[in-house]
Amino acid sequence: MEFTRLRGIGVSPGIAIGEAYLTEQLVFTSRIEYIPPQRMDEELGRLRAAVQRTREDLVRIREIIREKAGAEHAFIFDAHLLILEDKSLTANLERLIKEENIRSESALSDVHAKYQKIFDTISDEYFKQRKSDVADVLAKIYRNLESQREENTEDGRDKILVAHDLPPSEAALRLSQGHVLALALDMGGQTSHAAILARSLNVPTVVGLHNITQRIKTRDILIVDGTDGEVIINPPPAVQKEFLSKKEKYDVYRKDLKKVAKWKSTTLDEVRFYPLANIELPEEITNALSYGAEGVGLFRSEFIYLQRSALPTEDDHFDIYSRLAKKVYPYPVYIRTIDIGGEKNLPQLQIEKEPNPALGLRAIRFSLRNRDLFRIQLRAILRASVLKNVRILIPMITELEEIGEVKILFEEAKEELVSKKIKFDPAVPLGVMIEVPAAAAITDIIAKEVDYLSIGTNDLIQYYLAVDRSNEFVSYLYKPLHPSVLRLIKFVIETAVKRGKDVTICGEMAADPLSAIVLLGFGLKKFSMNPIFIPRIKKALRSVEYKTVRRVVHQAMALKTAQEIEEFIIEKLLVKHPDVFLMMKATT
Amino acid sequence: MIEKTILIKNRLGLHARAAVKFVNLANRFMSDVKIKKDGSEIDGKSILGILTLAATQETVITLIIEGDDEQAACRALGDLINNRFGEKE
Repeated sequence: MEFTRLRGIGVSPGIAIGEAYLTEQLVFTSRIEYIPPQRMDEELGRLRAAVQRTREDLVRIREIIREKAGAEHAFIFDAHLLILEDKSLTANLERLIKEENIRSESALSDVHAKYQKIFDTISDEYFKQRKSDVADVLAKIYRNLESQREENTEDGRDKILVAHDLPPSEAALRLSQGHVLALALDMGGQTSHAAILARSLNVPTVVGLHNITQRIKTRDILIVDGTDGEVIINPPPAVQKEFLSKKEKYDVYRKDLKKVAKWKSTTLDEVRFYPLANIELPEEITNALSYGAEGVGLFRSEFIYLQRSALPTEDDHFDIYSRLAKKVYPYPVYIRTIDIGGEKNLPQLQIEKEPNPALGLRAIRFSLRNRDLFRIQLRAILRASVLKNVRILIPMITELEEIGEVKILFEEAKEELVSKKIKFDPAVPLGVMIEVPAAAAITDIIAKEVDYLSIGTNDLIQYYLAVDRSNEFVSYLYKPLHPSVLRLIKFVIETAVKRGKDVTICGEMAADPLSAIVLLGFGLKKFSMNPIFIPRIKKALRSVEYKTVRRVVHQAMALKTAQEIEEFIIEKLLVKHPDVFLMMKATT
Repeated sequence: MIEKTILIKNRLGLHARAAVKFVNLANRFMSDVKIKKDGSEIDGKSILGILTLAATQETVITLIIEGDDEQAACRALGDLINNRFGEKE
């Protein structure tokens, strides 16, 4: 047996060994196959049976999705069912079989080509793209023409799914059915929808494998190593054994993490801190909670826009936010209004490319320019607040006037709901992101106007140090422990605490053990991060004394460089807590 | 036979979700339902017909309904469109 190792990008950690299932990219045939006239009835029966099976599939999938992902995602299957039942479609197919005596496969391909042509003449982009829904339904019928369906992933056996790419709806569908051991894709990156979903559902995943779909067959044995980004095809027993033991180690490690999740979030001297999660999809919550998150400190709502071709309606927003709030309850969820514009483009709005997107029309600047979209979002967030655990977070505030404008719109949204007798929490906290240095410098002024603050350290540091850290020539200058950065963040945290305002950090600094200790020293109690980092931050903060950290960090502020600060803190903490960094090493 | 000319008011027009509602409602009546827009006329009980009509916001369409329950069908379908298919805007 041939044995191959393929390198890709591991986007969801873990190891799985199992049988491959290749989802074929269905190519409609251009070859016309004829049937003898006496077989016409049989062929019609074959088509009708396939249509019936497709109907059953769609109904079943709709219920699964409704249950697992919400009515919001299930709606598309109502549309697909109506397409399947559409008389013009079925009449067309049957006519081709009866009058032209061609096989069902040829008829489906012919009808497919015809509809693609019709939709292509439409100039409106949304309606033009509905051709993919027609293609989807026809492809499902096509696949169901084979009555032998044991190769279907839905047969209940656990398999490793191998595909060229998985579009969002397909990913949600395949992964939420629960029989996918692992995922291996030709395409994709860290932030593709499939990767995010796989991570949240703990499905080991490797993407960016280029041509795995051409190198394997269904039923080949695969090892998918999502931790190291590797896929092994038909491994000999020795290699299988090696990976089984790696898998065991990983499983133990995960169990250990879950144990940490149940520990109390307090320092050695009983000072309470709160690990929170940064997430993008409601599906990620279960996983975040299992890592020990005590709430969602950042929900990036722009994904609601990026996931669909039409602009989301108020109900689309509401459906997601209320699901989110219910799943997180009794913990809080901070919903950040869209941070779109710049490099994150909205497919529905054709935003013009800007010469300097990081400094351009993005986040709240975009929302205040597109107020109708903003109003919809505010109303939907308010409507989802009935459990009293929802907060609104406004990104990229630069000056006080923006907060004034937001507040007017926010009050208008509340009045509108009151007049319509729609319930909401009248005390929904309104907070702003501190990520523009100018806003950080006037924290004392801003704190008076809002209910809480959240420091977005990634952007704040990039703007403050004037360093694009994705630029390899200057990224060495990106130092979160630069004395100027620490002075600024210290000012923000201390000012907020002094004024009795809640403050959170939701950048990568919160996920780095040493930085988190420094932030704790400034008086920070709420740390929001990618949930997978929560256990290690919890371990680090639980192993120090707040009193000691405060003293050491304040002494460190007199030092001149990032390196001096780092060395000083490590040295001083090691004296008092020799095991702190040992533990960090073990978990990183 | 009744003919009724209506303006599509909701922002998304006769998009997929609205089309689902329209077809499901139309199917509850015996009458034939046709929709005319510009020169083309489609079957109002066909979702593919409606989608290919590409009726965006501010489009004027004509409902042509014929059958025993044409009055009721016309009223119900007209209300659905005028109520923006239950959408907020």
